Amino acid sequence: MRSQRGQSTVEWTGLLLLVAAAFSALAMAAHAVGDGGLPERLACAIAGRECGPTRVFTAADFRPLRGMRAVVGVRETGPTGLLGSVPSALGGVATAVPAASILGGAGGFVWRHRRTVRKVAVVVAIGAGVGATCAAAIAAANAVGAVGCGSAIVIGGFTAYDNATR
Amino acid sequence: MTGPPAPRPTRAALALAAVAAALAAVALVWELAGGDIGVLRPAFVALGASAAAACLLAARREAGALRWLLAALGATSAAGAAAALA
Repeated sequence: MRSQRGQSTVEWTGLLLLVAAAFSALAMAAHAVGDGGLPERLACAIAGRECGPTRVFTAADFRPLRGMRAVVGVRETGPTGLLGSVPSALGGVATAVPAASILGGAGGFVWRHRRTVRKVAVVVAIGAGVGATCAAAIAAANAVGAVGCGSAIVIGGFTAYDNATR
Repeated sequence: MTGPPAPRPTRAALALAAVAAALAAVALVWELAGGDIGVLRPAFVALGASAAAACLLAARREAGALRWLLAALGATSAAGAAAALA
């Protein structure tokens, strides 16, 4: 039982680091993508204020698909029957953006900002690794932990610097 | 800072990680001084990858906090080696 003492603390610390890393990545991504950062968006959403244009994708991403139409709800069966040319609620024509175009837009966005995405991913990975190593080192409280934490800090520091300068 | 001595795979993995960290420190100082790290980068990639593999293998034999430590250190070394290689 003594050897198991404190293990849940390590697990919770790891989970906390994971959640913190995920939120950091989201905040950095939102800041890199939109006008203003995540806090402004959250404030706008909570207060219900009229915010400025906060589109993630530019109009150019959807330009080739503008004007595409899709019939929603019914199959195309030729003449419309008794109602003639009057469109029914189900037979209305709606402008739709296919899911493939959204994925294509997201892929294009990621490709345009691939350097930023790479840098953010490396920083998050290194930060989470160093944090988890040193948190476990504190829990282990022995020489192995001290050397491991020191190694993680130096390796992470060099990698972060190398990542930032390339 | 007391406890039973670590088993041999753990000590070897930790030694590799420490050497990789020393090399990273030398490369960082060199680059900050304005020099070109040149051959140090591939050496760091090789050492980091070796340390990552050793740490992840040693983590399988450990338990508790040391298991977490070795796994996280292995992940850090792997990410560092991959970032230096890319």
